[in-house]
Amino acid sequence: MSNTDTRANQLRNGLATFLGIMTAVAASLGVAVALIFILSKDPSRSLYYYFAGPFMNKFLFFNMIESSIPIIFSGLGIAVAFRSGVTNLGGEGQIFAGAMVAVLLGVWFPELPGFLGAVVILVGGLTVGALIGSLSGFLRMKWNVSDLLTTYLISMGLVQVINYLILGPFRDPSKIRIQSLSIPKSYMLPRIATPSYLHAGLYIAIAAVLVVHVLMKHTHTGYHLRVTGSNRQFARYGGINIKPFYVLPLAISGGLIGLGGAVQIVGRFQSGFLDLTAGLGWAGIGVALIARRNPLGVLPAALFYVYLQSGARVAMMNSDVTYEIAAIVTSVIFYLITAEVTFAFFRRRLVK
Amino acid sequence: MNALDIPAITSTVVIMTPFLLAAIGGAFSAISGLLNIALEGLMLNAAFFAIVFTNLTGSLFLGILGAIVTTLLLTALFATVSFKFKANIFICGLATNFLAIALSIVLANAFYGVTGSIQFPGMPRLVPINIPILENIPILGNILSGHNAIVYVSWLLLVVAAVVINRTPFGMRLRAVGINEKAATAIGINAKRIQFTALLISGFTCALGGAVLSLTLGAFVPNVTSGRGWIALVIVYLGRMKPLGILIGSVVFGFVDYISNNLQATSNIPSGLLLSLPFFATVAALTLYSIIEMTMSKRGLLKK
Repeated sequence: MSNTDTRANQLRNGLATFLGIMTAVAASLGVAVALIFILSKDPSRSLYYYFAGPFMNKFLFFNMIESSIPIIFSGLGIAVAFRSGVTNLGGEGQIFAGAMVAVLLGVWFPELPGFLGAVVILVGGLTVGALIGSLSGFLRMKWNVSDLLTTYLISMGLVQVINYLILGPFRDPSKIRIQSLSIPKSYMLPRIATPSYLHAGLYIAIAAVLVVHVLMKHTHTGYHLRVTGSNRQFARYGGINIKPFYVLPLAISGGLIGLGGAVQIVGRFQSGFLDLTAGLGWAGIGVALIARRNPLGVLPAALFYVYLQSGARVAMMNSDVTYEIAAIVTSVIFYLITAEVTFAFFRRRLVK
Repeated sequence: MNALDIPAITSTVVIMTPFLLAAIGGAFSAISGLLNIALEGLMLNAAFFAIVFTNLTGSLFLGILGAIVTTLLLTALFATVSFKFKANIFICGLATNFLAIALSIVLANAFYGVTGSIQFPGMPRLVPINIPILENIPILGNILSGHNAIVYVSWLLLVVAAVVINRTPFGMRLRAVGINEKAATAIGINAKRIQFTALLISGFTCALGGAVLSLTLGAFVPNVTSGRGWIALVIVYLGRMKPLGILIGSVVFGFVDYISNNLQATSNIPSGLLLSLPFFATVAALTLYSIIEMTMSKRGLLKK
C-alpha cells in the first residue's frame, strides 16, 4: 500500500469516528425531542426553549459557556486517566475537595494581595486533587488494589466529610442558605462578560487544555503515559518502568479536577455549599468519551454537553419540562458513545 | 453502648439485606467475567418503582413484582446496548446508573408533580414476620426470626445461587465463560447469552434489594441506595465470588453500616463523618485484602 493511500485511509478513519460520535449525538437529540413530546403539554414551546434557549440572549449564552468551565477540567482529567490506562471515578470528590480547600485557604489567609490569593487557592485545589488521585494510584501500584473502586469509594467518603465541614465547623452562620464561609472578594477572578457569570477561569481552562495536549502529545512523559495506557506489558518490554504510571496519571487526573473545583470557588461561587459538585465529575467521563480521550477534543465536547443541559434549564424556566430530562438525554450519549457498531458501520463504508 | 446486643444483631441482619441481594446478582455477573457497575442504578430503579406500583395497586406483592419487571427491562436495555451495539460494558453500566436517577426524578415529576421524596399515607409497608418456635430461641431467634419477607427470600436466594453456580449445567457454563470466553465459545457455549442471563439475574436480585430499601422505609428518597451497589461490588470481589464469602462480606458491611447509623444516634461524633465511615472502611478492607493476597502469593512463589 502506498503512502498516500494510508494517509487517505487515516482521514477516512477519522471521518468514520466523527460520524460515529455524531450518531450518538443525533440519537441523544432524538431522545430529547421524543421525551419533550411525551412529557410536555406544549411540545413546540418546550422544544423551542430547549434547543434555541441558550442562544436567545447574551446572558444565557455566556452562562452556558461558564457552565462548561468545570466540565472542561473534569473532562480533561478523565481523558488523561483513560488515555493512560487507569480509571478515575472519583471526579465528584476531587472537585468538591478542590473547592473546599479553596474555601479553607481563602478563609485562613484573607490578607494576601488579590492575585496572589487566587494563585494560592488554585495551587491548593490542584495539589489536593493530585494527592487524592495519587492515593488511589499508590494503592494500585503497591498492592494492586482496583483504582476503579478506590477512586469512587474515596470520593464518596470525601463528599460526606466535606458536607460535614460545610454544615458544621465552616458554615457561615450569618447566611440563611446553608453555605460555607466566603473567601475574600479580592481573590475572585474577574467576570469577562457581565452581566453573565462567565469569568476568567475560562482562560485557565483553555490553558489547561493546551498544556495537557502538549504534555500528552509532545513530551517524553506523555509518550510514556500513552504507551503504558495502550499496553502495559508492551511498555514494560519496551524498557519503560511502568510502576509510576499508575500514580502519575491519577495525580494529573485528580489535580486537573481538583483545580476545576478551586476555579468554581474563585470564579463563580466564593463559598462552598452542599450540592456544589452536582454531577460535574461524572459529566467529565461523558465529555472525555465524546472527545475520544483527546485533550483538544474536550473543548467542543464540553460545550456540547453543557448545551444539552443549558437547553433543559431554559426549557424548565419557560415551559413545563423538568431539568432532569437532560440527564436522560446524556445517559443516551453514555450508552452509545462507545458503541462499536456505529463506528464499524461508517468505517466499513469509508475505509478501503 | 454494647455493640453486640440484641438490637444490633437484628438491625445488622436487616441492614445487610440490600448488600447481600445486590452482591448475589453481582456475583453471577462477575463469575461470567463482567464487572456490573450498574448494581447501584438497578437498585435505585427498583426502589422507585416498588413505591410507584405498591401505591398504584395497594399490594406489596404487586409492588415488588412491578419493581422486578421494570428493573429487568432496564437491565435488558443495558445488556442489549453493550452486547448488540458492542458498547463498553463499563460505560453502559455508568449510563444505567445515570438513567435510573434521571428516570426516577422525571417520572416522579410526571406522575405526582413532585421532585424529592415520595411518600403516600396509608401505603402498605414491609413488616417483620416472626417465625413460631424459632423466635423463642435466645440470640439465634433474633438472627433468624422477626424480619420482613424479602430478608428471608434473600437467604433462600443465597442457597439457590450456591446450588445453581456449583451444581447445574448453567453454573458450569457460567464459570467456563468467566474463565475463558473464547475457549467456552469454541466448545459450543453461547457466551454472550450466558452473560446476558447473568446480567438479568443481577437485575432480578437488585430489584429485590431496591424494593426492600424503599418498602421498609415506606417512601422513595433520592439516593436511597447511597453507594450500596458499589459496596456490594466490593463484597463480590472480597468474597471471591463465593456464596459463603458474599454472606460474610454482607454481614461485615451490614455491621459497619449499623455502627455508623447507631453512633449517629448515640455519640457526639458528627453524623457527616460517620456517613463517610462505610466508604473508607471499604477502601481499608480492599487494601488489606490485597496486601494479604499479595503476601500469600509471594510466599507461595518462594516455596517453589
